Amino acid sequence: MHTQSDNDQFQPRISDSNAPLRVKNLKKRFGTLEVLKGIFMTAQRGDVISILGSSGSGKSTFLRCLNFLEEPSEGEIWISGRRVRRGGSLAGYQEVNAVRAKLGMVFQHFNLWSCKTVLENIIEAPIHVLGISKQNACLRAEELLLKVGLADKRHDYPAHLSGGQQQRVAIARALAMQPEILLFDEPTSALDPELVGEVLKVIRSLADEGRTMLIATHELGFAHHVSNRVVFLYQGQIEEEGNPDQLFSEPSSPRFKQFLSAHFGERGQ
Amino acid sequence: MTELQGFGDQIALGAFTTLRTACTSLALGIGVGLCGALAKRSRFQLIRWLADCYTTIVRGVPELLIILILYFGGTVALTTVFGRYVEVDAFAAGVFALTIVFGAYATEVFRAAIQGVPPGQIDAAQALGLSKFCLWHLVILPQMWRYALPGLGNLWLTLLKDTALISVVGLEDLMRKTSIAAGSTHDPLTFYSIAAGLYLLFTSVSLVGLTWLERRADRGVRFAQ
Repeated sequence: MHTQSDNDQFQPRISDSNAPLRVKNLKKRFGTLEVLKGIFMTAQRGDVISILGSSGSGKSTFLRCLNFLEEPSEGEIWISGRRVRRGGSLAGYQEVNAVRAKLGMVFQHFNLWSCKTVLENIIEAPIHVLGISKQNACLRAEELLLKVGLADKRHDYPAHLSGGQQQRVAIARALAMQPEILLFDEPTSALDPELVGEVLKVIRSLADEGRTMLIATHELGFAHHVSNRVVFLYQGQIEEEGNPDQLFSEPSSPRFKQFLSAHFGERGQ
Repeated sequence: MTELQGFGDQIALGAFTTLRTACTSLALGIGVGLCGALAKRSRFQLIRWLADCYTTIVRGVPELLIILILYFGGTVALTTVFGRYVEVDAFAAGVFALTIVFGAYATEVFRAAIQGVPPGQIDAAQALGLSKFCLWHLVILPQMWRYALPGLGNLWLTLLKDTALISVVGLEDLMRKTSIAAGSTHDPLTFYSIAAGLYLLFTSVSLVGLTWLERRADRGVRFAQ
């Protein structure tokens, strides 16, 4: 596991304490089943980290632990140099909400609110969480819709959009909170193949803006091109990580090799 | 038939009382039902247990009995508390009893409706940092409404007709006014038919309203595939 970027990690570009995200020994158990077995990760500003792994390897659980949609069983999470704790207290609850506002999440199944229009989906959180006026929230939402190429759909309901369009709205909704980190939980896995491209294009443009992003994905080619670091999860642990060029051409872990050949094999490459 | 032999006004008044009783009970009962549904999802076992007791008992006892027990029990209780005879107002007792009954059934309707809201919708709200109040107000309530409406519609029809039971404790509703008119004119068939026609009118109008509400609640998902 001595890849180029493993060494890079030991030469901090920015002081670690200011990193947007630091995770130490994160564990998550569901009953007796240990889904995450101690994950360590640091994301520097502008990092695009792809998280690979087969189903059940803990990719989604890992992302969901970061914003406390799942309560971590053990470990530490630091967001922008501040450790997040969750107690049963109101303060703990508010702190978690504050952290959630900094982490934008995009889900596999979009999860747009079906009873609200595209525009309403985007403006609710900025209005109610950030306290932005409705007028400003709408202006910002229109800009974001323009950016994801859906300005003409602002008054449509999610059910009237294609999956790719829904996912682009979901990305706009996450962006409207001006998050410090974007978490993508298999953003294209629920899409018809012909719709994957439009969503990946939006994600790529966000990477080009220098946003800090964590992307759980099965799109290996995309992960290769868009990310500066790739993490391979196997049974709740990081099996291999490093710079994508290195990792894809010379995987050192046999499990990752197997994973790659299974994926590229089925695509006939 | 001149003015229904002088009983026209009385019957109109009774019909108004029936509607007033039903509407008041509906509004209060929806509140009770929502609280009941929340109680059933509470973290605290005692609260869940109390809510279970409430729905089990109320749904398991005839409405008429509940009305009688609350009316006479209420009189006894208030008399004991104030140390002198207190007569319970028939309208208040009736609304109270119907609210309790409606609330118990509505609790179950709302509980199922809340479960019907896809978990992803709640994930999304939480991931954006929305407070619990906003989560309910913006996401859960508008959506559970859709699942709750058909059930609530049924309950409303039952409630509207159950108001007739309140006449046993002296509420001057449509049923009671009709039976007085029927008795004193010796023309029961005419008057009971008129009452039946009025109940049917109210329920039919309700059904039209319900269809409209359901269509409104389905906005945005009606053409969903």
